[in-house]
Amino acid sequence: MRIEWWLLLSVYALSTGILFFIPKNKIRLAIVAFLFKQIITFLIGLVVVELGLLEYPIRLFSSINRTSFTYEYYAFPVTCAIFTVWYPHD
Amino acid sequence: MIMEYFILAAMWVFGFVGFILFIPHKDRRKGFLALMVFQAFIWLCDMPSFTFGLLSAPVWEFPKATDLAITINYFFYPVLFSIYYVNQKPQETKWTRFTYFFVWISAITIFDIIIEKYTDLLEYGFLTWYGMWIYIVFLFFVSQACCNWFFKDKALFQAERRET
Repeated sequence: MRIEWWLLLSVYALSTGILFFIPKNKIRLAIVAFLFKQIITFLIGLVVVELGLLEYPIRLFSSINRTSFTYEYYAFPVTCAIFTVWYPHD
Repeated sequence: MIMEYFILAAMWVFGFVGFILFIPHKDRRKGFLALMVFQAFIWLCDMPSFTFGLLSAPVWEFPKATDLAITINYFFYPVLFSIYYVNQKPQETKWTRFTYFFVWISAITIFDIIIEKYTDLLEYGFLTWYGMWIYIVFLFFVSQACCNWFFKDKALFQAERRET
């Protein structure tokens, strides 16, 4: 397997691992942040690829989708969720 | 080709108008959450089903970026689900709720089949009409279960309701 696939796999593992550090009482906040990020990043990701600003040569579901499913559907929203949950209010 | 783009534009317009008209002001947030949940699930399920040729979408909004049906997946069906979710009445009897669910699912399936038959927006591969029905039942059921879980604790969402 090429190194890129290992990286994708480790991204999935890492993102899923991060999910376990969300405190239980903030799980709803995390979900809302996740979904909000997803709805934004999916559309913008498509626009960016459509305009030719960015390319993802190795990706999941490569036959039908030229954007990075891993990044836009999972890794980036998880990052946003964890950022929102840990954000130091006051 | 012009016809398809006209339908897509109509979907956006009717989606916006429907979201504003059929969702009461106090339930706006609930509706938006339902929309996002359904959107997340439909992407997850459509990626493999498009990859394995269950269905396809010959007219694309972003021809270079993706082969998926963006308007339907990203906006139109999620809006329909959020209208469905906000307007259901949990205190009704089981049969009323079941009928409500059944009517919605069947209406959307018929709409989907008409789109498949007369336009190039969707094209079924291995999928049959009852396959689509089951697919939509599955999507609605899973999204509804998740939304119900999210709004399970009524006390958390009381404050906002009192204000509006």
